[in-house]
Amino acid sequence: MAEREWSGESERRCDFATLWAESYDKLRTYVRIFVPLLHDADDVLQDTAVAIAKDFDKYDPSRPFLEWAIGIARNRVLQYYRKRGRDRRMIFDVDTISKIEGSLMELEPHIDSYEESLEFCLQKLPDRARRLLELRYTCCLNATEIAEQLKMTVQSVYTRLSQVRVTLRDCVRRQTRESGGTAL
Amino acid sequence: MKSPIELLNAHFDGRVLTAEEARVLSQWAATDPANARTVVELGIIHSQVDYRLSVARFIDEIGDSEDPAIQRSIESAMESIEIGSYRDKSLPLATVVSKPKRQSERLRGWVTAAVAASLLFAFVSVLRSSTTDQDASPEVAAATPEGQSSPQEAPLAAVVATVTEAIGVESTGVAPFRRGKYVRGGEALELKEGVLALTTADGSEVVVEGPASLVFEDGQRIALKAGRLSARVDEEATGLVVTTPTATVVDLGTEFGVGIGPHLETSVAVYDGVVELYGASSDGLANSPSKRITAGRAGQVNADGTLNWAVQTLPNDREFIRPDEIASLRKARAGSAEARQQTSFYALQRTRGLVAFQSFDLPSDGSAYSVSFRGSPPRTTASPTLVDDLQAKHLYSSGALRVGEAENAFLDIDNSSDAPFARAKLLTDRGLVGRSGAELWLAWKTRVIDPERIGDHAGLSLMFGDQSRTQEPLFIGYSGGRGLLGIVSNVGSRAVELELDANPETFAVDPVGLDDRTHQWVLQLIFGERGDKIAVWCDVPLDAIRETRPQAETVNANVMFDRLRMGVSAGASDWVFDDFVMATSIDAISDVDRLQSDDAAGAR
Repeated sequence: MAEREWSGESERRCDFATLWAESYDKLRTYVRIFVPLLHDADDVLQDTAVAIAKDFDKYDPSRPFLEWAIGIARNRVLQYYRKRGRDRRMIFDVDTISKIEGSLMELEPHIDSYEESLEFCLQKLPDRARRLLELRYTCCLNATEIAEQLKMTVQSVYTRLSQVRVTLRDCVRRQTRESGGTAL
Repeated sequence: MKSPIELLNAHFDGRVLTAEEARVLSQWAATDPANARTVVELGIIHSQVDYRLSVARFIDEIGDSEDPAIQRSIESAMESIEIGSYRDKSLPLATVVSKPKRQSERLRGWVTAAVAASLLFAFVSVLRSSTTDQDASPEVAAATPEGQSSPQEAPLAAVVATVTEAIGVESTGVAPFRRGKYVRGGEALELKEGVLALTTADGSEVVVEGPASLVFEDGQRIALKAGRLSARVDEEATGLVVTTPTATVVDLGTEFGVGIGPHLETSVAVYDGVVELYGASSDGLANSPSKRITAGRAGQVNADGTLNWAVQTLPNDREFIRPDEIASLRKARAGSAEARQQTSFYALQRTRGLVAFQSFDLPSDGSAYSVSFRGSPPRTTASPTLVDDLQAKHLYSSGALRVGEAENAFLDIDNSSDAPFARAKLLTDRGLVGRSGAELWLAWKTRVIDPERIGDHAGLSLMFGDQSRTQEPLFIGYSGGRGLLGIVSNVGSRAVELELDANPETFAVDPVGLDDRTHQWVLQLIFGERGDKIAVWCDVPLDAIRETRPQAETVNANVMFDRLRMGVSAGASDWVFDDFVMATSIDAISDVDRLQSDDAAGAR
């Protein structure tokens, strides 16, 4: 009896591991849209993993796992902002959150090809733009630190990072269309 | 105003959006499905570019764990996932670990490790809350850190907490504290110094500040013998009990701090929710007198174990190092200047006597790293202009406020009942600063851009409305087109003008003219029943203020204010204002200055 229970428990964990791994990057994207600070986003994602693991027996396998997991991630994001209090506020209201979630679910089937195209587009970036992204992501510098390094104003760093991401978005859209995928 | 896409990207890059910017962005995203899709697309790019470019950083972080246990934990988790997948699902690992066929080998390894790390954490957390050591799974047993026997091998006490961070910890115990170390029931923790963060089996977060001595008796009971700790109790796991030699603190769903004083008195600060505080003078908890302490309040049990019935308002929200501070401490230790600034700001908030602070943080337009000032950015008659810091020795992203010709800028004081001014008992019944019997110190810096352009006046006013003179009891700067620094004390329709005396030890007044240097001002206000004493120092080192005669001194019948105005008249040069610090003692002003200097030194 105990052995059977153990076997069921083990299987449940493997189901969880599979679904979590399949959805990991989408959930990470979801959390990072709302929680910009890297370590905070990682903490929220970690909390989400724990909550999902705890409640996994409540998950209805006939429903999409990502949709269910996003509901849990949303609660953890909102909890994070409640704990942060005044120093950081949630910038999107509930209606907007719901629309962003709707868009993520719509894009979900295409995200894999999106990510492949992104890898190609990153390679095509001019050196200066690539350097900017490396300072931001590899060196984990904030806009003020990047501004100091590149002798730019902080505002122009924000603007330039925004331009680079929009350039990547446009490139990915083109790539996806050219490769015959669904236009994003 | 920036475009919504620029605002979204600035948000991704850590800029704190103003309420108005957030409203514009949120509304834009909600009005058109194409806009919501853009948010998601840019979110994917932000997240995925980070994913791809941060391999080195991730390896560094993993490398940070010289502790082989962590490395082995990740490997063990991966192994168990891999074996489990083959055995139970007949799935290749490739299916489990997020599209590796399409990703480079280097990235695949990293993604695998990241997913495994998150899975390991989730498994272990769930297991700790739902099972005992005896029925721990093989996966978890494989992940047991080095030096700790598996539960099947030895009848060790149950694991009741796990170290999640050890910052500068020196212990008197045998085993060093490292991330991932398990703490077993009854195990004594002795810290000589440093900060230790732990997660209990119930998911509560505990932060211990050394020097401290404590024992986790079980997952819900901590015996604190000396030192300080804070705890944030998981929403579903109320009931954490902290005992001290003189008191018992019972959590009722909350975040709180407990400290033991030099004479064994116990102080408790409640940040969220409610705790029940018991004195330890009588036998048995049920028969002990108790006091319920709610959020924003502090309670105390005396050295003899008697309960102090007077509940105080918390002087600030950061008296204890709280669990949310740990992430910043971790990043600061890794070299992040932003995190170091955040931790310095937390330390600054712990300064006894500090009631207000504004250093005009550049990325947030002055809203971040500010204490007790309402609104962001500062309220101005023109658009506010934040410029570079007046001195390099400050919080690294702080700037300064430039006020132009014929402009006024206001810093409105937060006079709400739970804000520091109210907590320090500085407010009158009308909510204005100036309660009789109180003392307030204000420090700030100024610089005149072009001292040749004098106009009529420029300087700082203490006001209780926006009207000059009638609602402006005190002005510090120059006035009347004379270009000599001084103070103007307005009492009704009468104005008393007093020039600064550069050398107050001599009989004659040695006036102070305008120049383009940065000046450090200090104002002391002692609010009395019959009059308020005003003293001003300019460019006197903060630690020498007490021994130095003020350069201007007067008495005003009734100084009261709820805002600071930085004003420049028509025809006058721009002025730059910076580093407003308000405190109930000059020592607190000095402490804040020192903290800012330390932060800057660290940044260099």
